[in-house]
Amino acid sequence: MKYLLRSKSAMTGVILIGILVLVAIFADMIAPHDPYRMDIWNSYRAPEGLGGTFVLGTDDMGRDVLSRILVGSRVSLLIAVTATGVSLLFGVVLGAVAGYVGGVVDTIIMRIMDLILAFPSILLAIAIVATMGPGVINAMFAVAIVRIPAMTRVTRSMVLGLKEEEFVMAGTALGLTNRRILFRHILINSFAPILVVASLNMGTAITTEATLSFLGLGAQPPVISWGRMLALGREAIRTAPHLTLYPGLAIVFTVLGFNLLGDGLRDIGDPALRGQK
Amino acid sequence: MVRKSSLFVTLALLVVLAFSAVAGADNNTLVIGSGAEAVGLDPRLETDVPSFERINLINQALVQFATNMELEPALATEWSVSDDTMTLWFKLREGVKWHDGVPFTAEDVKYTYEWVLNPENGALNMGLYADIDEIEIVNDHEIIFRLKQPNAFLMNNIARMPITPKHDGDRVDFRQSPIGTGPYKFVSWTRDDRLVLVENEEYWGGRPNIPNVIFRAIPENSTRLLAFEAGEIDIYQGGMVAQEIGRLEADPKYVVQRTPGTGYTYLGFNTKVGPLADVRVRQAVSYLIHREGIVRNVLNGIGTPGIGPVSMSLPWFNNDVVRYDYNPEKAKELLREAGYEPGQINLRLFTNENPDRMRIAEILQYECMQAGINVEVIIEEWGAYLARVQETDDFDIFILGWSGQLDPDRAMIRQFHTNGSNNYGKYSNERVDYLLDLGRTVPQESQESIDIYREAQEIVVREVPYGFINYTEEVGLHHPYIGNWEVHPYGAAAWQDAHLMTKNK
Amino acid sequence: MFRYIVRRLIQMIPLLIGVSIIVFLLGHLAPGDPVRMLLGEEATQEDVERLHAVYGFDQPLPVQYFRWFSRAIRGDLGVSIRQTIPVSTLIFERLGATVELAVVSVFIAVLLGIPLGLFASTRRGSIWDYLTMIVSLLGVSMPGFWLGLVLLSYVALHVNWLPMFGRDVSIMTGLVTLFTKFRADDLINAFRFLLLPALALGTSMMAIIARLTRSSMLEVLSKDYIRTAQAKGLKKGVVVVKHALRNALMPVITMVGIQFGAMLGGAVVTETVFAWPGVGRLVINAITQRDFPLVQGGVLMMALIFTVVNLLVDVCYALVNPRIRYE
Repeated sequence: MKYLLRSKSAMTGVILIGILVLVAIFADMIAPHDPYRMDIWNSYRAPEGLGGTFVLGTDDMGRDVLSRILVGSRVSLLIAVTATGVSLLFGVVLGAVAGYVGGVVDTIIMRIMDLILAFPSILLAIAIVATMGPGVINAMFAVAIVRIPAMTRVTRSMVLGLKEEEFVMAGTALGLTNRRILFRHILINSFAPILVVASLNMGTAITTEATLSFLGLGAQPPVISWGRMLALGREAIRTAPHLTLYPGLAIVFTVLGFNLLGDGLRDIGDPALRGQK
Repeated sequence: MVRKSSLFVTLALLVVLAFSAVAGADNNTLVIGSGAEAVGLDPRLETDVPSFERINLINQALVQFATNMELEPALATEWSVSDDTMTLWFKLREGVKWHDGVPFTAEDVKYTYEWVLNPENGALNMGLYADIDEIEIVNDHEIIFRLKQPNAFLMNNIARMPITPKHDGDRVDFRQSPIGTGPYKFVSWTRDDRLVLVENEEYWGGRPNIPNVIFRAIPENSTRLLAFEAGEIDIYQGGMVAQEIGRLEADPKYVVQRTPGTGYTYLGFNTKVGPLADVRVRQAVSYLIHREGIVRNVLNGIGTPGIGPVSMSLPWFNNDVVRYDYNPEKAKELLREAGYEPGQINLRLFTNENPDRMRIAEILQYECMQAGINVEVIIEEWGAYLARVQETDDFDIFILGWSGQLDPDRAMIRQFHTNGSNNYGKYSNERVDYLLDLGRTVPQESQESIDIYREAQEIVVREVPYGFINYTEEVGLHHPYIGNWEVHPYGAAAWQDAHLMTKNK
Repeated sequence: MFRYIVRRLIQMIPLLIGVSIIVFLLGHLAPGDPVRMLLGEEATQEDVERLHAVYGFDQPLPVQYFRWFSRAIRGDLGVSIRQTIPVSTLIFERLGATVELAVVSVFIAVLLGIPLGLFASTRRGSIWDYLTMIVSLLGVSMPGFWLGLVLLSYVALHVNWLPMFGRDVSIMTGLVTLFTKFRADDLINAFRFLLLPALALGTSMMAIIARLTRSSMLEVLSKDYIRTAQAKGLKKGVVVVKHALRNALMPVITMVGIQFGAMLGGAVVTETVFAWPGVGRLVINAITQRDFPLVQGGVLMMALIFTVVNLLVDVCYALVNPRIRYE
């Protein structure tokens, strides 16, 4: 914890994510308008800025864009965190086992991963959603499955590299158990790229949901997600850019938060860097 | 050193060349934008608008729809329909040649229709011509169609079946490189990219003004508009970015042409299962369709609020039907009458990933919620969606549209006849069945025909198997240097008179 | 090395069979009937049944699969239901466009991403570090379709030189004219049309590569042998490029291989936005129409390309990191 406090980027990340989580929890209370309320005669209103009635303007159905972004944080965060979490969990475990154990186990795991990977990811997501039906949960599931092989491969490649390192060899020579070596030494040392990939995956999870929404297969109305806002606002990109600009910024904000945190955690998990700060 | 600088000069020249090569196509080439690639170019096999947009330049039907939707001569110069609508007579144009020089005769007409009517050939539109019993050739330029049963509207289907050459129509790759009698000849086709056509110098309607035509397929509406603004395409019809229409109309650099279309968008109700089996509930939902708002906001004014199944531009259109102008109070009253308390009705509304339909679904969901009806919106991928609507009754409401409703028969019999092939909501009314059957037996220009279909519309609108949302509108967009073109109410026929168009850039 | 490659090629066979089975199952389990899609609004029950028999859809699934499979191993992928053209023709006429787009996107991503990451890692904690981070995060935060439309609306519309859509000639043709006729216009044209779609497709990968390079570099730079090298008085540039980058590129290369699949897939959307005549657009239309033979052939072809690319990646791997032997 004290390392966490010391790392500037980790702290910034924690603060940003904290804000997001608070927004998601209290969205209903802080939203200035009912995000679902339509007022068809009041559509495409330009942003009025702080102090205006519609700070970020209204969308094609006269709904308040700011309120929708605030409430939309729930679904988008949920998708990002769950999908990334699931893929991280499966990916790291499978990758570590494959890389460390090697042999037949490695071959089997990696061939299964290759199988998933060999599908163009969007097509696989589309196929999953077309078969299971559209909606947030299925979209989340599709996004998670698509991401597992990448996590597995990165983890495996790190483990493979580290297996040959002196400190692991030393550990083996000292008679440490495999599990101990794997988790205490190898995984901790391979955290850096894994965390970076995972925190970037937060962003791609949100954009994948946007792409599914572009194809109409993401969140279903009236559920609000940032991806759906981007997809539906795309034809107004020239006449009313605020429909897509602000949800886009919200995504950037989120991705930034997770990446700063990821960077910070990386530094903390890296014993070599600890002393330097 | 010398070598280096000469290399530099060469590179600079290349760059200049590359920049100057960008200028758009010249006056000898017309570039037409299209919303999708053609599936194929054989009129006997295709069913989609993008395919016919292209086919109609190469192949021609006996008659065609003018921009006022009246039939005009094409390969037939004269025709008549008998009073019992059982016999059709055509006088064919003389001196017409196929693109390879072979003369066009009645044999080609007979060949085309017999090919379509042979089930082994798998012509998808076979059903449209199934009433044809036999085709009799009187002489090279006269032909008679005899029907199995009366069908006053067969002429309109005949206008949609371009004739293919008997001497070449069985070629394996005819679908990819057809020959026809039209103003332009096929040159080459790179699928998903471009279709290149060249003038038919011996076209019976006169040599085309613009010698070359290129069709470009651009699926995304925004991109197509941008390509048009950048001058990369000269003209296109349909698939407008609705939000931009106001700006385009105000800009003197562009010409926007609009005309009422031939289709409509509707809510389909399940009239057999669930709360919507009660006509009052259907009426209530119809009162909750905010048509004005949808046309203004979702369609940005491209279209008009829906009234009934028949287009307003057709003589059969009945203006004196019940109107369901947006009225939440009336809707609540009807629901109370039907015995429902607010919150008691739960409906599932299905649609596909079409952005306009998704927005309409969302608006309706909101309005229904305000009136105490819970609506769950489910957006399905097109294939899954169509399967649900066509093959099951596992839905309460769906959103679909019809296009090419060129006569009242086409606009109603499949949809509202008890045995109609597209009666997905299982609507049934004896009187409507009787009227729709009767309508086929009277000549389509007669007052009797008009009376029959006006009554049928009256009943259908009152009983609400469909909630009519909007009539479509066709929009054409071109640069001012394009002349002699009029937007066509039926998108597939948009370019049939391309040989008259001019380009003076 | 050679034996390794041969073994990997053999391993591809069960993989491709697995892919074909999954595509087959997903296709047939998803609701939707190709024949009804084909017949459209006017379908009668008899027509549907007649065509089911024609295409063999009335047979049990395993029978259908084995029929397809036995023809596929002889190189016959069947005929598109909707277009009545052999699937292989439809795919091959578009394959070049898709591969070209994916490869150029990867190139852009690598050429921009690695220097960016390198740059940031050597200036850790400085304003430049944060700037590159923000640029790359913008990259991952923008869905391809949106970035594509932004590029078209705000760049291409104002730069006459950049076309809005489509494809002119292939890079191959461009190279041929360059070397046979000494004219570069074809080549320039090829890139003119490729630039924006490749940017739209490659940006998110560029971002991922930049971030990964940075973190991987930092990792390696803190290693003992690098410190030793520095201590020995080697120039910083030499250390970074010769010693650190080489080792830091391992996870980056893995990512490039993995992302290549995402490129082929992401091309679906990019191809639609830019009207690029590629396989992605073909397959997505085929999915919508339930044109099973076409979906199967298209996905199989993409899987094949992806696997070959990853085999190449693994070979690169071994070249970059000699410590890895071919198992």
